[in-house]
Amino acid sequence: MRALAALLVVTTVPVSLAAQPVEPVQPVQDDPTFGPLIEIERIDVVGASTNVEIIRREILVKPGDRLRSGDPRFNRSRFRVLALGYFTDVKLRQDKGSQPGAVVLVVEVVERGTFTLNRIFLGTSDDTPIWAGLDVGDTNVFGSGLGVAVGGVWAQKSSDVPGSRTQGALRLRVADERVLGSDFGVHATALYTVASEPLVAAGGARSVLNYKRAGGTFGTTWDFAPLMRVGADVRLESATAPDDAATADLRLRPGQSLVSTVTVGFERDTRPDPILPYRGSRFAFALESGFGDYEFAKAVLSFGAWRLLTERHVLGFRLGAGIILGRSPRFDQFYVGDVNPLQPPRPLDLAVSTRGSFDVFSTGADKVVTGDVYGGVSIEYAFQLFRNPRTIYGGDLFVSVGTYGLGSRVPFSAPVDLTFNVGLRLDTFIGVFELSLGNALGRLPL
Amino acid sequence: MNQRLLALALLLAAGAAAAEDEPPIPEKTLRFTAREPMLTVSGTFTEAFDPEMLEQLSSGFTTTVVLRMYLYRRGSDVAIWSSAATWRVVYDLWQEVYLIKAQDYAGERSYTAKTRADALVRVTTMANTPVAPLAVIEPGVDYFIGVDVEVNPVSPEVLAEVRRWMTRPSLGGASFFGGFVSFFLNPKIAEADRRLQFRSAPFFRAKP
Repeated sequence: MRALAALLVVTTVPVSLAAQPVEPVQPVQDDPTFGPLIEIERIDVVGASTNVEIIRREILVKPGDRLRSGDPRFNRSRFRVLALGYFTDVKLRQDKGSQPGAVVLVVEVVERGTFTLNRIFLGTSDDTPIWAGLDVGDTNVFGSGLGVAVGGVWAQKSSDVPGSRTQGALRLRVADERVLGSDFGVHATALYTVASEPLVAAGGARSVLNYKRAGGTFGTTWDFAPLMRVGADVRLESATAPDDAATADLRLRPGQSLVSTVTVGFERDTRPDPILPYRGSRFAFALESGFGDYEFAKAVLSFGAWRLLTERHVLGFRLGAGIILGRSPRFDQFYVGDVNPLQPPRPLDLAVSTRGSFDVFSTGADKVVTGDVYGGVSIEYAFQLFRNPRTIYGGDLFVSVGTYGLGSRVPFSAPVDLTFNVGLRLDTFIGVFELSLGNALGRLPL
Repeated sequence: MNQRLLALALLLAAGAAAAEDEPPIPEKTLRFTAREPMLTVSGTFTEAFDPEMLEQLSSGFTTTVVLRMYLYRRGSDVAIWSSAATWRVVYDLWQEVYLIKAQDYAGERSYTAKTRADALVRVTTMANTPVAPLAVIEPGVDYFIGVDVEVNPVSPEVLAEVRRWMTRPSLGGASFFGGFVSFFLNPKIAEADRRLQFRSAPFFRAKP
């Protein structure tokens, strides 16, 4: 059996006697010259209670088109309809039309529920006894093709720190990823946050910074090539901090202030499976510029590449970097939990912990929780435990190790620390589950 | 804390144990023939089609069957040769005939079949399909072949594109600055409609 384990990863082209692993299997392309010549008489959609126009606009052929039945546009149309996410199955078939050579293209769909559980927030830390929340949505509200999601997090106040209050965050998101079936998408987010951010002074004294945020973003995306996307967002929000000059040092203007920014981004993602990646790469870059009360520029770059070493063994490489020029509001700064998987995350941007890194290299990284500059690199090895066509699609055991620096730009100081993670990643029909050391450590007080 | 980490370790162990349950690759009776200058193989794999896929043969659209064969020396896990064959079949509604095109190491051939059953047999039968040059097969040494069959395989590029559409970053909460969503509607596009793997019994080439 062990011998057959190498079956799937040798080249399809005859190789030398000393054939060594491992070239990817060459894909088989559709043959546009194969099959009889047909003329599309009309397009029928069967089995859909959703707006059939949403389906029709994903079909890449139209009545009157003359083409071979092996034309790749048919197959791509099927995948485009499947990619809407509203159907468990999509089949295409031809029925005879009114005259020889004419066919009726029948698109047969099987609908699925479109309610989604996007995230569950749950954890505890030394600063927050418990935080909990949900993010739920529907990707096809009333069959309209419009997606709506609502998220909320509640975080209990710390009884040890005077002035601490209960934290809460709400998000409402609306998105149409393919406006009228085009390659353009629009999305909008409304946010409301009541923050009581825990702080630790240099001497160890604990305090909180209470503030509120209200506002939203509006943006658009353009899939200008099959695996590439650009986007632009406008953000407007009001921040309300105490009328205390000291808050200026905490990257919030006293009283009420306005955060207004414009973001542009680019992404190229060639991974056939972004959940359990085994080949391909992802590159993303975003630049956000702030105007008015908070004049700043924030640039973030990330790159990852994955390669199947041999059957079931995957090596991944990740690189990330970011910089903030000027004085952004404090909630836009880079946070240790964003770059180190062993630290508590920020559920819907709420700071729930002041825990620093473990400072393995004794560089002072344990004193840094937020920063204006960061850079990191990591490698990950994954072992493909299993792959399955239904329910639980696959699972990978993974272990990663990396190093990163987070800190201030002026004067430059970014203490370097080691980070690592180990766990099991499961890709299932309801989403992705990660049972990892990082998840456990980030959600428990240490 | 220690109890929680222990629970995590148990979950990981359960995942690892699940991996051990994968069924073994079945052995199939195949016939090998030395037809200078190639070793060829004959056999059938009609089980690659379930009833639903059989129905799709008459849909009017192309069904593609890709067969990949890997030659191993017995006891080794490194393939010493590989070859491939592809069949395409489509039903012509107006002529009421199945058009079939086969491609392998020996070239390209076209066929027609009047019934779906005949078409199925044609695209799931290896009839003296070339495996490897006889020159690479040492007499008196045991070999076997591993066979990987995919029905309607999807190219990695198409998979990448469709999966990216499905992750819906704007709604899922991720953004250019954000991380990956943890839970979301997650329909899977399989790498093929069906995948079938089997191996041959060991065989050897008689010493001259």
